[in-house]
Amino acid sequence: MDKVAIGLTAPNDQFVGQLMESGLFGQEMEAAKLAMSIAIVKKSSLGDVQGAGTKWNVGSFDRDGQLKRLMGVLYPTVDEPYRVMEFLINTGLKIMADACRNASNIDVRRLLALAESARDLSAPRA
Amino acid sequence: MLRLQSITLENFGPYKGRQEIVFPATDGVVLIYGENMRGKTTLLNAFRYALFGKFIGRGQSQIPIHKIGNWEAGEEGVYGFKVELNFSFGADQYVLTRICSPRRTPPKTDADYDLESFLTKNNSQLSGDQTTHTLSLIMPEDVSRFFLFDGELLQQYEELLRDESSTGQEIKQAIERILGLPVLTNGRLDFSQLQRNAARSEARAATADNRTQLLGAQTETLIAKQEIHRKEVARLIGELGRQKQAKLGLEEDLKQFEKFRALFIERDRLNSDLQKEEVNRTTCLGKLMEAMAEAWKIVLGPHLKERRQDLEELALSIKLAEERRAYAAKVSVDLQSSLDAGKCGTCGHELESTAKNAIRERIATYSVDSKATSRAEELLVVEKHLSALQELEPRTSRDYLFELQEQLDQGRVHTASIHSRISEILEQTRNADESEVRRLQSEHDRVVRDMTLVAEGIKGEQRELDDTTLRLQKVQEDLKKVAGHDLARFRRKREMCQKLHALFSSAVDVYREKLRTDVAVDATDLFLQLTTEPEYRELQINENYGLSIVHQSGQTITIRSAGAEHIVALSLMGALQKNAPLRGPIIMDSPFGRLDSGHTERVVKTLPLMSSQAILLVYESELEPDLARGVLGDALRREYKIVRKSARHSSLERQV
Repeated sequence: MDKVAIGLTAPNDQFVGQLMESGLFGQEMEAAKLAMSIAIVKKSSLGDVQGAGTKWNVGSFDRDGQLKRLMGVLYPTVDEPYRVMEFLINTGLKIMADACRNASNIDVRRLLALAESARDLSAPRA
Repeated sequence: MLRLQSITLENFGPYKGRQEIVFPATDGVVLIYGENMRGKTTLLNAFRYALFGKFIGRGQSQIPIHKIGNWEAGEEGVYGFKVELNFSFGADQYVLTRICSPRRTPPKTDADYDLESFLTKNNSQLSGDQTTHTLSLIMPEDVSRFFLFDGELLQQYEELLRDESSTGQEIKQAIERILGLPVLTNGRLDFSQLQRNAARSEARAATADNRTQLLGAQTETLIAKQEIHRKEVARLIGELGRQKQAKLGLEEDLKQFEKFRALFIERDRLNSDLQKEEVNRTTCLGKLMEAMAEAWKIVLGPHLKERRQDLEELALSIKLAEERRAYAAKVSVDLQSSLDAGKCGTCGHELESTAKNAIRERIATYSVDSKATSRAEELLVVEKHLSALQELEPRTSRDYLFELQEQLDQGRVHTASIHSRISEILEQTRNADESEVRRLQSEHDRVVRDMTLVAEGIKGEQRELDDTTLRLQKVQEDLKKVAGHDLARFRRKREMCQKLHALFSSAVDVYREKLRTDVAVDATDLFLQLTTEPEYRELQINENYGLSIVHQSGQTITIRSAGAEHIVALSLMGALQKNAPLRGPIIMDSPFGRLDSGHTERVVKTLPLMSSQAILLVYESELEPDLARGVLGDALRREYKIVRKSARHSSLERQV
């Protein structure tokens, strides 16, 4: 049974708050989608998120089903795309949070550079 | 000509007790040497005090009399001071005495002193009014700057090159006074008044006569109107003069705040820049926020591109396989039909056994492909995936995001530097009274606006005055035609005053021009003797008697050193002495401080040409005694030295 709501771990939720404070994003969902993309290009191994609360209804998060279709393309064998999406979002946010931990400010260059790094990270923060 | 014979001081400044300088009767130079803080400037002021009752300190400020008396004497209970000047003017002998004695002891302020002055002429004491009148003839205070001066005063002559300078205007008026121009300007003024009086008399006489009553009344009305306009023009000119003075005064005041004013202007500009920067930042951040909504697609871009290529290749291979399968099926069916009919499906010939065998082999070959499984469904899935990827094309680019970030970063750096500069300015202006600066600036702007209005008013009134004068002349002409013999006397008087006024007016212009030419020629003569620079050709004079140095190339030297300023000022002094009806001694305090040895030597050499009696107050390193003796020769008449007795006690000792 796929998920009907996408959740974030508490640290990731807190980091999304920081991203919003940076003024780069108009909505939290946009930050979450960027995190998902970063996890995808990092070819993160798929898994389960532990301790994620409810953040967005999938209908709101993926209003036109675009993300679900993307999951179908990238992970054709997966039958619970939103569960995968939640995992990727949390993984990506952890990557971003780690990279920004000691930074004086969060900017575009720093975030997009993460997608160019070859490091693979496996599990999201619990 | 005024010639000094001696000066006696009693407890004047550092000159404790009674001390005297006696000047030789023959033309030449007297040198008084004194190191710094010994009392040279006080000695210069002793002459000034004797002549005008004033002691001028630095910045041309007047020193209170309470501070003039000798301190040591004061501590010994002796207060007050006395100066006595012996001089001749023409064939007459004068003794001028000024005494300042305490009204109560110890005196605390100027109010605690009584001031007395006496002038005796050939041993007869003059009354107070006579004293004032005589002194104003012998040495008017307003031209004293040409006889008593120091380096600070010499520096002011540069102001003559600036049209708007109030100091320059004051000096110009003083120059014209010493050159005797008031004789003519006063005459012009007198005849102008006499002409008006005569016109009024003529009008009154005409009104009294029945034949000319109407024209007389018109004349009186026009004269009255003319007088109103004239007074109004004079009032407005006076008002404009006051406004000019006020403007210059405000500019002087603003000069003190010039640095702060520039800083306040800069701060306001920076605050405006900050606002613009904030608008830019908000705009840029809005664009970036909008673009960042696509950032996830940008990040996925390269990854999805690879995936799309794989899918496109897969779709192509599926399509090719499907085409091959369809073709094989069709060919197999056609060949089987030919075989079944025993005829070639193309040309209709009977098939021989070898041909039939070949066809059977071909059918076997194609049947492999034709029996392959259809991949149409798979193709549908691949195309669906490709379509899904197509939707993920970002509407913006990574470069655009970076560009916006760069703009934000630059803005942040600029904003930080602006804040830093504003902080610096706040620190630098911490003690500045901005409201006072703003008040002065606003007052200055108001005065400038008022000046424009008054200048317009003067033009308007002058037009009215000219118009009235023309109408008056016309009426006076009409009156001349109908008037009888009785009025002729008044008319002749008016016309004579009119002509004399015109004569004096043109004389003022001619004399002023002659004076300027003569001063320029004499100043140039002197300057070429004083300067050590052979390429300088002459001094050029302007309307204000300001002198510019002209190079042999014909170009004017625009930037002059302090030393050059002194040389030019001394040249002007010498030229004025030569052209002035009023002559006297020149007393200079430390005039060589800014001059090199070459110029010093030349100035010393020309001193006897500048005045028949020159008194120099110098320190030895400024003018070496041996150099002075060598250069001046017989023209050096006497030397004095100011000798230190204590910090507050100096003594005048004759050397030669």
